[in-house]
Amino acid sequence: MTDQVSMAMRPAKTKRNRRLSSGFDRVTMLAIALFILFLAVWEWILIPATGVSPALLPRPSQIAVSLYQGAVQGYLLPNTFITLQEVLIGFVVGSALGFALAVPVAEWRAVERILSPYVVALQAIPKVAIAPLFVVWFGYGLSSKVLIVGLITFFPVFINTVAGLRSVAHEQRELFMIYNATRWQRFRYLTLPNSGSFVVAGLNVGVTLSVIGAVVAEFVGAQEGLGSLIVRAGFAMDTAGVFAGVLCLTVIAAILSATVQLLGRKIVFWANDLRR
Amino acid sequence: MNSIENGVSDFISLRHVTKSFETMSGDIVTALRDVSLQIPKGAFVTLLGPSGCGKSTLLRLIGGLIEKTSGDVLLGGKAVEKPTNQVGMVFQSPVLLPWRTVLENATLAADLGKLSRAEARETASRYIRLVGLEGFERKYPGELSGGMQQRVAICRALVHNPSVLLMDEPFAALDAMTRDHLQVELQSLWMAGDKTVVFVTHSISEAVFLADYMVVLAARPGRVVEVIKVDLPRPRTLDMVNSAEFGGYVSHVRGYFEAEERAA
Ligand SMILES: Nc1ncnc2c1ncn2[C@@H]1O[C@H](COP(=O)(O)OP(=O)(O)OP(=O)(O)O)[C@@H](O)[C@H]1O
Ligand SMILES: [Mg+2]
Repeated sequence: MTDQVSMAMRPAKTKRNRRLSSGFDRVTMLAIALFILFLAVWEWILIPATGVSPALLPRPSQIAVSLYQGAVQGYLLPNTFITLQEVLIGFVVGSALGFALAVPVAEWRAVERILSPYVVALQAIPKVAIAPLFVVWFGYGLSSKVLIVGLITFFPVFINTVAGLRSVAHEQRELFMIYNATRWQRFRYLTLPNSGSFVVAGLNVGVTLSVIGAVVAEFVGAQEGLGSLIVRAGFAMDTAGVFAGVLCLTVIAAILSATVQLLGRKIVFWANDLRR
Repeated sequence: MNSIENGVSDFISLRHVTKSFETMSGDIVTALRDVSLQIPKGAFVTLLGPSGCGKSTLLRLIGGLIEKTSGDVLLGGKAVEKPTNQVGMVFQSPVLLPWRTVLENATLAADLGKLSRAEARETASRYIRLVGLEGFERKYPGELSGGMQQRVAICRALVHNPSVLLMDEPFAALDAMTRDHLQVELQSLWMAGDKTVVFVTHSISEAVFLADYMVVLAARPGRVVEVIKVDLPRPRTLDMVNSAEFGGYVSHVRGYFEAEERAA
Protein backbone atom coordinates (compact mmCIF):
# COMPACT_ATOMS: atom_id res chain seq x y z
CA MET A 1 0.00 0.00 0.00
CA THR A 2 2.54 2.51 1.17
CA ASP A 3 4.93 1.43 -1.56
CA GLN A 4 2.31 1.89 -4.20
CA VAL A 5 1.49 5.33 -2.93
CA SER A 6 5.06 6.47 -2.81
CA MET A 7 5.75 4.98 -6.23
CA ALA A 8 2.77 6.76 -7.63
CA MET A 9 3.84 9.97 -5.97
CA ARG A 10 7.47 10.05 -6.97
CA PRO A 11 7.22 10.26 -10.77
CA ALA A 12 4.52 12.89 -10.52
CA LYS A 13 6.73 15.02 -8.33
CA THR A 14 9.86 14.79 -10.48
CA LYS A 15 7.83 15.45 -13.60
CA ARG A 16 6.54 18.65 -12.14
CA ASN A 17 10.03 19.69 -11.05
CA ARG A 18 11.41 19.03 -14.50
CA ARG A 19 8.66 21.03 -16.11
CA LEU A 20 9.28 23.92 -13.75
CA SER A 21 13.04 24.02 -14.24
CA SER A 22 12.92 23.50 -18.00
CA GLY A 23 10.27 26.20 -18.19
CA PHE A 24 12.62 28.55 -16.38
CA ASP A 25 15.50 27.63 -18.69
CA ARG A 26 13.37 28.19 -21.75
CA VAL A 27 12.33 31.64 -20.57
CA THR A 28 15.92 32.56 -19.85
CA MET A 29 17.05 31.31 -23.22
CA LEU A 30 14.24 33.18 -24.93
CA ALA A 31 15.23 36.37 -23.15
CA ILE A 32 18.87 35.97 -24.22
CA ALA A 33 17.83 35.16 -27.79
CA LEU A 34 15.60 38.22 -27.94
CA PHE A 35 18.42 40.40 -26.66
CA ILE A 36 20.82 39.08 -29.30
CA LEU A 37 18.12 39.63 -31.94
CA PHE A 38 17.69 43.19 -30.70
CA LEU A 39 21.43 43.85 -31.03
CA ALA A 40 21.51 42.22 -34.46
CA VAL A 41 18.62 44.31 -35.74
CA TRP A 42 20.32 47.42 -34.40
CA GLU A 43 23.68 46.51 -35.97
CA TRP A 44 22.65 45.21 -39.38
CA ILE A 45 19.19 46.55 -40.13
CA LEU A 46 18.46 49.73 -38.20
CA ILE A 47 21.73 51.57 -38.81
CA PRO A 48 22.25 50.64 -42.50
CA ALA A 49 18.57 51.14 -43.35
CA THR A 50 18.26 54.56 -41.76
CA GLY A 51 21.79 55.66 -42.54
CA VAL A 52 22.13 57.28 -39.14
CA SER A 53 25.57 58.73 -38.61
CA PRO A 54 27.63 56.88 -35.99
CA ALA A 55 28.19 60.27 -34.37
CA LEU A 56 24.50 60.21 -33.42
CA LEU A 57 23.88 56.52 -32.80
CA PRO A 58 26.77 54.03 -32.72
CA ARG A 59 26.46 50.40 -33.67
CA PRO A 60 26.63 47.81 -30.85
CA SER A 61 30.00 46.70 -32.26
CA GLN A 62 31.36 50.25 -31.93
CA ILE A 63 30.20 50.37 -28.32
CA ALA A 64 31.95 47.06 -27.71
CA VAL A 65 35.14 48.43 -29.24
CA SER A 66 34.89 51.54 -27.10
CA LEU A 67 34.44 49.37 -23.99
CA TYR A 68 37.45 47.28 -24.97
CA GLN A 69 39.63 50.34 -25.61
CA GLY A 70 38.53 51.85 -22.30
CA ALA A 71 39.55 48.67 -20.57
CA VAL A 72 42.96 48.22 -22.22
CA GLN A 73 43.90 51.88 -22.13
CA GLY A 74 43.11 51.73 -18.44
CA TYR A 75 40.68 54.60 -17.92
CA LEU A 76 37.32 52.80 -17.73
CA LEU A 77 37.96 50.69 -14.65
CA PRO A 78 39.53 53.39 -12.44
CA ASN A 79 36.70 55.78 -13.29
CA THR A 80 34.14 53.09 -12.55
CA PHE A 81 35.76 52.55 -9.16
CA ILE A 82 35.68 56.27 -8.42
CA THR A 83 31.95 56.42 -9.10
CA LEU A 84 31.34 53.19 -7.20
CA GLN A 85 33.21 54.62 -4.24
CA GLU A 86 31.12 57.81 -4.26
CA VAL A 87 27.92 55.79 -4.51
CA LEU A 88 28.82 53.35 -1.75
CA ILE A 89 30.07 55.89 0.79
CA GLY A 90 27.20 58.27 0.06
CA PHE A 91 24.63 55.49 0.21
CA VAL A 92 25.91 54.11 3.52
CA VAL A 93 26.16 57.56 5.10
CA GLY A 94 22.78 58.72 3.77
CA SER A 95 20.86 55.62 4.74
CA ALA A 96 22.53 55.41 8.16
CA LEU A 97 21.54 59.01 8.87
CA GLY A 98 18.05 58.45 7.46
CA PHE A 99 17.57 55.48 9.75
CA ALA A 100 19.12 57.13 12.80
CA LEU A 101 16.92 60.22 12.48
CA ALA A 102 13.79 58.19 11.76
CA VAL A 103 13.92 56.46 15.15
CA PRO A 104 13.44 59.53 17.38
CA VAL A 105 10.99 61.07 14.92
CA ALA A 106 8.81 57.94 14.97
CA GLU A 107 9.13 57.39 18.73
CA TRP A 108 8.60 60.89 20.09
CA ARG A 109 5.89 63.21 18.81
CA ALA A 110 7.79 66.23 20.12
CA VAL A 111 10.86 65.42 18.03
CA GLU A 112 8.65 64.97 15.00
CA ARG A 113 6.98 68.33 15.50
CA ILE A 114 10.31 70.08 15.87
CA LEU A 115 12.05 68.40 12.96
CA SER A 116 9.31 67.84 10.42
CA PRO A 117 9.27 71.40 8.96
CA TYR A 118 12.95 71.08 8.10
CA VAL A 119 12.50 67.62 6.69
CA VAL A 120 9.57 68.70 4.54
CA ALA A 121 11.50 71.75 3.30
CA LEU A 122 14.63 69.75 2.53
CA GLN A 123 12.58 67.12 0.81
CA ALA A 124 10.87 69.70 -1.39
CA ILE A 125 14.20 70.93 -2.73
CA PRO A 126 15.15 69.15 -5.94
CA LYS A 127 18.47 67.73 -4.76
CA VAL A 128 19.84 67.68 -8.27
CA ALA A 129 19.32 71.42 -8.57
CA ILE A 130 21.55 72.20 -5.62
CA ALA A 131 24.37 69.96 -6.81
CA PRO A 132 26.33 72.95 -8.24
CA LEU A 133 26.20 74.56 -4.82
CA PHE A 134 27.74 71.50 -3.23
CA VAL A 135 30.54 71.53 -5.76
CA VAL A 136 31.22 75.16 -4.99
CA TRP A 137 31.21 74.48 -1.27
CA PHE A 138 33.04 71.19 -1.13
CA GLY A 139 35.13 71.14 -4.25
CA TYR A 140 35.56 68.86 -7.24
CA GLY A 141 36.59 65.84 -5.20
CA LEU A 142 34.95 62.98 -3.38
CA SER A 143 33.26 64.91 -0.58
CA SER A 144 30.81 66.91 -2.70
CA LYS A 145 29.72 63.71 -4.47
CA VAL A 146 29.31 61.79 -1.23
CA LEU A 147 27.21 64.59 0.23
CA ILE A 148 24.85 64.75 -2.73
CA VAL A 149 24.50 60.98 -2.87
CA GLY A 150 23.93 60.92 0.87
CA LEU A 151 21.30 63.64 0.69
CA ILE A 152 19.47 61.86 -2.11
CA THR A 153 19.58 58.50 -0.32
CA PHE A 154 18.52 59.97 2.99
CA PHE A 155 14.87 60.68 2.19
CA PRO A 156 13.54 57.35 0.95
CA VAL A 157 15.26 55.57 3.83
CA PHE A 158 14.09 58.13 6.38
CA ILE A 159 10.49 58.22 5.21
CA ASN A 160 10.16 54.46 4.86
CA THR A 161 11.72 53.84 8.26
CA VAL A 162 9.37 56.29 9.95
CA ALA A 163 6.40 54.62 8.26
CA GLY A 164 7.74 51.19 9.24
CA LEU A 165 8.32 52.10 12.86
CA ARG A 166 4.74 53.38 13.00
CA SER A 167 3.23 50.32 11.35
CA VAL A 168 2.77 48.47 14.64
CA ALA A 169 -0.77 47.10 14.87
CA HIS A 170 -3.01 48.04 17.78
CA GLU A 171 -3.21 44.46 19.03
CA GLN A 172 0.59 44.09 18.93
CA ARG A 173 0.85 47.17 21.08
CA GLU A 174 -1.68 45.72 23.51
CA LEU A 175 0.25 42.46 23.61
CA PHE A 176 3.30 44.33 24.86
CA MET A 177 1.15 46.37 27.24
CA ILE A 178 -0.19 43.22 28.85
CA TYR A 179 3.39 42.29 29.74
CA ASN A 180 4.12 45.79 31.04
CA ALA A 181 6.94 46.02 28.54
CA THR A 182 9.19 49.06 28.81
CA ARG A 183 9.54 51.47 25.94
CA TRP A 184 12.94 50.04 25.12
CA GLN A 185 11.65 46.46 25.16
CA ARG A 186 8.81 47.41 22.86
CA PHE A 187 11.25 49.04 20.49
CA ARG A 188 13.75 46.21 20.59
CA TYR A 189 11.33 43.30 20.29
CA LEU A 190 8.43 44.81 18.33
CA THR A 191 8.80 48.19 16.65
CA LEU A 192 12.27 47.71 15.22
CA PRO A 193 11.91 44.24 13.69
CA ASN A 194 8.41 45.13 12.55
CA SER A 195 9.81 48.00 10.48
CA GLY A 196 12.20 45.67 8.62
CA SER A 197 10.41 45.32 5.31
CA PHE A 198 9.77 49.08 5.14
CA VAL A 199 13.43 49.86 5.75
CA VAL A 200 14.48 47.42 3.05
CA ALA A 201 12.02 49.02 0.62
CA GLY A 202 13.55 52.40 1.43
CA LEU A 203 17.07 51.08 0.85
CA ASN A 204 15.97 49.66 -2.49
CA VAL A 205 14.74 53.04 -3.66
CA GLY A 206 17.77 54.76 -2.15
CA VAL A 207 20.35 52.60 -3.87
CA THR A 208 18.99 53.37 -7.33
CA LEU A 209 18.76 57.07 -6.58
CA SER A 210 22.30 57.09 -5.20
CA VAL A 211 23.77 56.13 -8.59
CA ILE A 212 21.79 58.94 -10.22
CA GLY A 213 23.03 61.31 -7.53
CA ALA A 214 26.67 60.44 -8.13
CA VAL A 215 26.41 60.87 -11.88
CA VAL A 216 24.63 64.20 -11.64
CA ALA A 217 27.22 65.42 -9.17
CA GLU A 218 29.96 64.42 -11.58
CA PHE A 219 28.20 66.13 -14.47
CA VAL A 220 28.24 69.35 -12.51
CA GLY A 221 31.87 69.30 -11.62
CA ALA A 222 34.39 66.50 -11.46
CA GLN A 223 37.68 65.43 -12.97
CA GLU A 224 37.09 61.73 -12.52
CA GLY A 225 34.29 59.18 -12.52
CA LEU A 226 31.93 57.74 -15.08
CA GLY A 227 29.79 60.88 -15.08
CA SER A 228 32.70 63.11 -16.11
CA LEU A 229 33.80 60.47 -18.61
CA ILE A 230 30.36 60.59 -20.21
CA VAL A 231 30.38 64.38 -20.34
CA ARG A 232 33.80 64.46 -21.97
CA ALA A 233 32.84 61.78 -24.50
CA GLY A 234 29.73 63.79 -25.27
CA PHE A 235 31.70 66.96 -25.97
CA ALA A 236 34.02 64.97 -28.24
CA MET A 237 30.97 63.61 -30.13
CA ASP A 238 32.14 60.14 -29.07
CA THR A 239 28.66 58.62 -28.69
CA ALA A 240 30.09 55.12 -28.47
CA GLY A 241 32.06 56.32 -25.44
CA VAL A 242 28.87 57.74 -23.91
CA PHE A 243 27.12 54.43 -24.39
CA ALA A 244 30.08 52.58 -22.86
CA GLY A 245 29.90 54.81 -19.77
CA VAL A 246 26.15 54.39 -19.46
CA LEU A 247 26.58 50.64 -19.71
CA CYS A 248 29.07 50.65 -16.83
CA LEU A 249 26.69 52.76 -14.74
CA THR A 250 23.82 50.39 -15.47
CA VAL A 251 25.92 47.44 -14.37
CA ILE A 252 26.85 49.22 -11.13
CA ALA A 253 23.23 50.11 -10.41
CA ALA A 254 21.99 46.62 -11.21
CA ILE A 255 24.59 44.89 -9.04
CA LEU A 256 24.02 47.24 -6.10
CA SER A 257 20.27 46.95 -6.34
CA ALA A 258 20.44 43.14 -6.54
CA THR A 259 22.76 43.07 -3.53
CA VAL A 260 20.41 45.23 -1.46
CA GLN A 261 17.46 43.07 -2.45
CA LEU A 262 19.31 39.89 -1.58
CA LEU A 263 20.42 41.26 1.77
CA GLY A 264 16.90 42.55 2.40
CA ARG A 265 15.40 39.16 1.76
CA LYS A 266 17.91 37.63 4.18
CA ILE A 267 17.22 40.18 6.89
CA VAL A 268 13.42 40.26 6.63
CA PHE A 269 13.22 36.58 5.77
CA TRP A 270 9.70 36.35 7.16
CA ALA A 271 8.15 38.84 4.74
CA ASN A 272 7.93 36.26 1.94
CA ASP A 273 6.10 33.80 4.17
CA LEU A 274 3.65 36.47 5.18
CA ARG A 275 2.76 37.46 1.68
CA ARG A 276 1.96 33.85 0.81
CA MET B 1 -27.08 41.46 41.94
CA ASN B 2 -25.49 39.72 38.99
CA SER B 3 -23.20 37.87 41.30
CA ILE B 4 -22.13 34.35 40.62
CA GLU B 5 -22.96 32.47 43.80
CA ASN B 6 -20.37 29.91 44.55
CA GLY B 7 -19.35 30.34 48.15
CA VAL B 8 -15.71 30.77 47.14
CA SER B 9 -14.32 34.24 47.67
CA ASP B 10 -14.58 36.36 44.54
CA PHE B 11 -11.35 36.58 42.63
CA ILE B 12 -12.34 39.03 39.92
CA SER B 13 -14.83 41.59 41.04
CA LEU B 14 -16.52 44.40 39.14
CA ARG B 15 -18.76 46.75 41.06
CA HIS B 16 -20.95 49.26 39.26
CA VAL B 17 -18.40 49.66 36.51
CA THR B 18 -19.12 52.18 33.80
CA LYS B 19 -16.85 52.81 30.85
CA SER B 20 -17.44 55.52 28.29
CA PHE B 21 -15.35 56.53 25.34
CA GLU B 22 -15.10 59.84 23.64
CA THR B 23 -15.33 59.34 19.93
CA MET B 24 -13.38 61.39 17.43
CA SER B 25 -16.44 63.52 16.68
CA GLY B 26 -16.62 64.37 20.39
CA ASP B 27 -19.65 62.21 21.26
CA ILE B 28 -19.64 60.08 24.38
CA VAL B 29 -20.25 56.37 23.83
CA THR B 30 -21.18 54.37 26.90
CA ALA B 31 -19.63 51.00 26.22
CA LEU B 32 -20.54 49.55 29.62
CA ARG B 33 -23.06 50.90 32.13
CA ASP B 34 -23.20 49.89 35.77
CA VAL B 35 -21.79 46.41 35.30
CA SER B 36 -21.42 44.30 38.44
CA LEU B 37 -19.93 40.85 38.21
CA GLN B 38 -18.18 38.53 40.64
CA ILE B 39 -16.01 35.73 39.34
CA PRO B 40 -14.71 33.05 41.74
CA LYS B 41 -11.16 31.72 41.53
CA GLY B 42 -10.67 28.89 39.10
CA ALA B 43 -13.94 29.43 37.25
CA PHE B 44 -14.40 29.32 33.51
CA VAL B 45 -16.58 32.26 32.59
CA THR B 46 -17.81 33.04 29.09
CA LEU B 47 -18.99 36.48 28.05
CA LEU B 48 -21.65 36.32 25.39
CA GLY B 49 -23.41 39.12 23.60
CA PRO B 50 -24.04 40.89 20.31
CA SER B 51 -21.35 42.87 18.54
CA GLY B 52 -20.60 46.18 20.19
CA CYS B 53 -22.05 45.29 23.59
CA GLY B 54 -18.73 45.88 25.33
CA LYS B 55 -17.30 42.37 25.69
CA SER B 56 -13.81 43.39 24.63
CA THR B 57 -14.05 46.51 26.75
CA LEU B 58 -14.92 44.40 29.80
CA LEU B 59 -11.95 42.13 29.14
CA ARG B 60 -9.59 45.07 28.69
CA LEU B 61 -10.78 46.56 31.96
CA ILE B 62 -10.02 43.33 33.81
CA GLY B 63 -6.63 43.10 32.09
CA GLY B 64 -5.78 46.69 33.03
CA LEU B 65 -5.33 47.76 29.40
CA ILE B 66 -7.85 50.57 29.77
CA GLU B 67 -9.19 52.52 32.71
CA LYS B 68 -12.76 52.47 33.95
CA THR B 69 -14.77 55.68 33.97
CA SER B 70 -16.36 54.86 37.33
CA GLY B 71 -16.86 51.90 39.67
CA ASP B 72 -14.40 49.33 40.97
CA VAL B 73 -12.43 46.67 39.14
CA LEU B 74 -10.68 44.29 41.54
CA LEU B 75 -8.37 41.40 40.85
CA GLY B 76 -7.46 39.22 43.82
CA GLY B 77 -8.81 41.94 46.11
CA LYS B 78 -6.62 44.68 44.60
CA ALA B 79 -7.79 47.51 42.38
CA VAL B 80 -6.67 47.02 38.78
CA GLU B 81 -4.73 50.03 37.53
CA LYS B 82 -2.38 48.58 34.97
CA PRO B 83 -1.58 45.12 33.62
CA THR B 84 0.00 42.75 36.10
CA ASN B 85 1.87 39.48 35.81
CA GLN B 86 -1.25 37.71 37.02
CA VAL B 87 -2.86 38.13 33.63
CA GLY B 88 -2.36 36.37 30.32
CA MET B 89 -4.24 37.46 27.23
CA VAL B 90 -5.23 35.82 23.95
CA PHE B 91 -6.53 38.12 21.25
CA GLN B 92 -8.98 37.54 18.44
CA SER B 93 -6.09 37.20 15.99
CA PRO B 94 -2.96 35.31 17.06
CA VAL B 95 -0.74 38.43 17.01
CA LEU B 96 2.41 36.34 16.66
CA LEU B 97 5.67 38.06 15.79
CA PRO B 98 6.52 36.71 12.32
CA TRP B 99 10.29 37.00 12.84
CA ARG B 100 10.22 34.69 15.85
CA THR B 101 9.87 30.92 15.77
CA VAL B 102 7.03 29.16 17.54
CA LEU B 103 9.19 28.59 20.61
CA GLU B 104 10.52 32.16 20.56
CA ASN B 105 6.97 33.50 20.30
CA ALA B 106 5.79 31.33 23.14
CA THR B 107 8.66 32.51 25.35
CA LEU B 108 8.19 36.22 24.64
CA ALA B 109 7.45 36.83 28.33
CA ALA B 110 11.03 35.83 29.17
CA ASP B 111 12.48 38.51 26.89
CA LEU B 112 10.23 41.00 28.61
CA GLY B 113 11.65 40.00 31.98
CA LYS B 114 8.68 38.11 33.38
CA LEU B 115 10.60 34.91 34.06
CA SER B 116 13.94 33.28 33.32
CA ARG B 117 14.64 32.06 29.80
CA ALA B 118 15.32 28.50 30.93
CA GLU B 119 12.09 28.34 32.86
CA ALA B 120 10.15 29.85 29.97
CA ARG B 121 11.60 27.38 27.51
CA GLU B 122 10.67 24.46 29.72
CA THR B 123 7.12 25.65 30.37
CA ALA B 124 6.59 26.64 26.76
CA SER B 125 7.77 23.24 25.52
CA ARG B 126 5.30 21.59 27.86
CA TYR B 127 2.38 23.70 26.61
CA ILE B 128 3.44 23.30 23.00
CA ARG B 129 3.26 19.55 23.53
CA LEU B 130 -0.12 19.85 25.26
CA VAL B 131 -1.68 21.74 22.36
CA GLY B 132 -0.28 19.27 19.85
CA LEU B 133 2.42 21.40 18.25
CA GLU B 134 5.39 19.22 19.16
CA GLY B 135 7.93 19.27 16.32
CA PHE B 136 6.89 22.76 15.20
CA GLU B 137 9.03 24.63 17.74
CA ARG B 138 11.45 25.94 15.14
CA LYS B 139 8.87 26.84 12.52
CA TYR B 140 7.89 30.43 11.82
CA PRO B 141 4.29 31.67 12.11
CA GLY B 142 4.09 32.10 8.33
CA GLU B 143 4.49 28.35 8.02
CA LEU B 144 1.55 27.54 10.30
CA SER B 145 -2.21 27.41 9.77
CA GLY B 146 -4.46 29.89 11.55
CA GLY B 147 -5.51 27.29 14.13
CA MET B 148 -1.91 26.37 14.88
CA GLN B 149 -1.01 30.05 15.27
CA GLN B 150 -3.84 30.57 17.74
CA ARG B 151 -2.56 27.59 19.74
CA VAL B 152 0.87 29.23 19.91
CA ALA B 153 -0.83 32.40 21.17
CA ILE B 154 -2.47 30.36 23.94
CA CYS B 155 0.91 28.88 24.93
CA ARG B 156 2.43 32.35 24.99
CA ALA B 157 -0.31 33.63 27.28
CA LEU B 158 0.25 30.75 29.70
CA VAL B 159 4.04 30.67 29.89
CA HIS B 160 4.50 33.15 32.73
CA ASN B 161 1.91 31.15 34.68
CA PRO B 162 -0.78 33.82 35.09
CA SER B 163 -3.67 33.09 37.39
CA VAL B 164 -6.12 34.72 35.00
CA LEU B 165 -6.44 33.96 31.31
CA LEU B 166 -8.39 36.52 29.28
CA MET B 167 -9.45 35.37 25.84
CA ASP B 168 -11.12 37.69 23.33
CA GLU B 169 -12.94 35.60 20.72
CA PRO B 170 -9.79 33.54 20.21
CA PHE B 171 -11.42 31.01 17.90
CA ALA B 172 -13.68 33.35 15.95
CA ALA B 173 -11.58 33.29 12.79
CA LEU B 174 -11.26 29.51 12.66
CA ASP B 175 -13.26 26.92 10.76
CA ALA B 176 -15.87 24.91 12.69
CA MET B 177 -13.81 21.73 12.98
CA THR B 178 -10.64 23.41 14.24
CA ARG B 179 -12.76 25.39 16.60
CA ASP B 180 -14.42 22.29 18.10
CA HIS B 181 -11.02 20.72 18.50
CA LEU B 182 -9.48 23.73 20.21
CA GLN B 183 -12.45 24.08 22.56
CA VAL B 184 -11.83 20.54 23.78
CA GLU B 185 -8.10 21.25 24.11
CA LEU B 186 -8.70 24.46 25.99
CA GLN B 187 -11.02 22.67 28.39
CA SER B 188 -8.39 20.06 29.21
CA LEU B 189 -5.69 22.72 29.61
CA TRP B 190 -7.92 24.55 32.05
CA MET B 191 -8.92 21.39 33.92
CA ALA B 192 -5.25 20.51 34.43
CA GLY B 193 -4.61 23.78 36.27
CA ASP B 194 -6.34 26.21 38.58
CA LYS B 195 -6.58 29.20 36.29
CA THR B 196 -9.53 31.53 36.09
CA VAL B 197 -10.58 32.00 32.48
CA VAL B 198 -12.70 34.81 31.07
CA PHE B 199 -13.58 33.92 27.51
CA VAL B 200 -15.38 36.25 25.11
CA THR B 201 -17.38 34.74 22.29
CA HIS B 202 -20.39 35.47 20.15
CA SER B 203 -21.06 31.82 19.53
CA ILE B 204 -23.78 30.57 21.87
CA SER B 205 -22.80 26.93 21.65
CA GLU B 206 -19.14 27.76 22.29
CA ALA B 207 -20.19 29.76 25.34
CA VAL B 208 -22.28 26.89 26.72
CA PHE B 209 -19.67 24.25 25.93
CA LEU B 210 -16.87 25.94 27.85
CA ALA B 211 -18.62 27.75 30.66
CA ASP B 212 -19.06 27.21 34.34
CA TYR B 213 -20.85 30.54 34.16
CA MET B 214 -22.21 32.24 31.11
CA VAL B 215 -22.53 36.00 31.33
CA VAL B 216 -25.07 37.33 28.84
CA LEU B 217 -24.63 40.95 27.86
CA ALA B 218 -26.91 43.31 25.96
CA ALA B 219 -25.92 46.30 23.88
CA ARG B 220 -26.59 50.05 23.93
CA PRO B 221 -25.57 50.53 26.63
CA GLY B 222 -23.52 47.41 27.37
CA ARG B 223 -24.89 45.71 30.47
CA VAL B 224 -25.20 42.28 32.05
CA VAL B 225 -28.64 40.79 31.57
CA GLU B 226 -28.14 37.37 33.12
CA VAL B 227 -25.52 35.08 34.58
CA ILE B 228 -26.27 31.44 33.88
CA LYS B 229 -24.59 28.57 35.69
CA VAL B 230 -23.95 25.73 33.28
CA ASP B 231 -24.35 22.43 35.10
CA LEU B 232 -23.07 20.03 32.49
CA PRO B 233 -20.57 17.42 33.69
CA ARG B 234 -16.85 17.73 32.87
CA PRO B 235 -15.00 16.93 30.80
CA ARG B 236 -17.51 17.96 28.22
CA THR B 237 -17.46 16.16 24.90
CA LEU B 238 -18.55 17.21 21.45
CA ASP B 239 -21.39 14.67 21.65
CA MET B 240 -22.94 16.63 24.48
CA VAL B 241 -23.70 19.46 22.08
CA ASN B 242 -26.58 17.35 20.78
CA SER B 243 -28.02 16.57 24.21
CA ALA B 244 -31.34 18.01 25.33
CA GLU B 245 -29.72 19.68 28.32
CA PHE B 246 -27.18 21.49 26.16
CA GLY B 247 -29.93 22.50 23.75
CA GLY B 248 -31.89 23.90 26.69
CA TYR B 249 -29.09 26.32 27.57
CA VAL B 250 -28.65 27.33 23.97
CA SER B 251 -32.31 28.11 23.36
CA HIS B 252 -32.59 29.94 26.67
CA VAL B 253 -29.77 32.31 25.65
CA ARG B 254 -30.98 32.59 22.11
CA GLY B 255 -34.23 33.96 23.52
CA TYR B 256 -32.41 37.09 24.66
CA PHE B 257 -30.87 37.79 21.30
CA GLU B 258 -34.09 37.24 19.42
CA ALA B 259 -35.91 39.56 21.78
CA GLU B 260 -33.21 42.14 21.17
CA GLU B 261 -33.44 41.75 17.41
CA ARG B 262 -37.20 42.28 17.56
CA ALA B 263 -36.67 45.39 19.62
CA ALA B 264 -34.09 46.74 17.20
N1 LIG C 1 -11.16 53.00 21.93
C1 LIG C 1 -12.47 53.27 21.71
N2 LIG C 1 -12.85 54.52 21.35
C2 LIG C 1 -14.16 54.80 21.14
N3 LIG C 1 -15.14 53.90 21.23
C3 LIG C 1 -14.84 52.64 21.58
C4 LIG C 1 -13.48 52.25 21.82
N4 LIG C 1 -13.47 50.94 22.14
C5 LIG C 1 -14.75 50.54 22.08
N5 LIG C 1 -15.57 51.54 21.75
C6 LIG C 1 -17.04 51.45 21.64
O1 LIG C 1 -17.53 50.76 22.75
C7 LIG C 1 -18.52 49.83 22.35
C8 LIG C 1 -18.16 48.44 22.82
O2 LIG C 1 -17.00 48.01 22.10
P1 LIG C 1 -16.37 46.58 22.30
O3 LIG C 1 -15.20 46.50 21.40
O4 LIG C 1 -16.12 46.34 23.74
O5 LIG C 1 -17.52 45.63 21.79
P2 LIG C 1 -17.53 44.04 21.64
O6 LIG C 1 -18.65 43.52 22.44
O7 LIG C 1 -16.20 43.49 21.92
O8 LIG C 1 -17.90 43.87 20.11
P3 LIG C 1 -17.40 42.76 19.07
O9 LIG C 1 -18.18 41.52 19.34
O10 LIG C 1 -17.77 43.35 17.75
O11 LIG C 1 -15.94 42.59 19.25
C9 LIG C 1 -18.71 49.98 20.88
O12 LIG C 1 -19.83 50.80 20.64
C10 LIG C 1 -17.45 50.68 20.42
O13 LIG C 1 -17.72 51.52 19.34
MG1 LIG D 1 -14.64 42.60 20.70
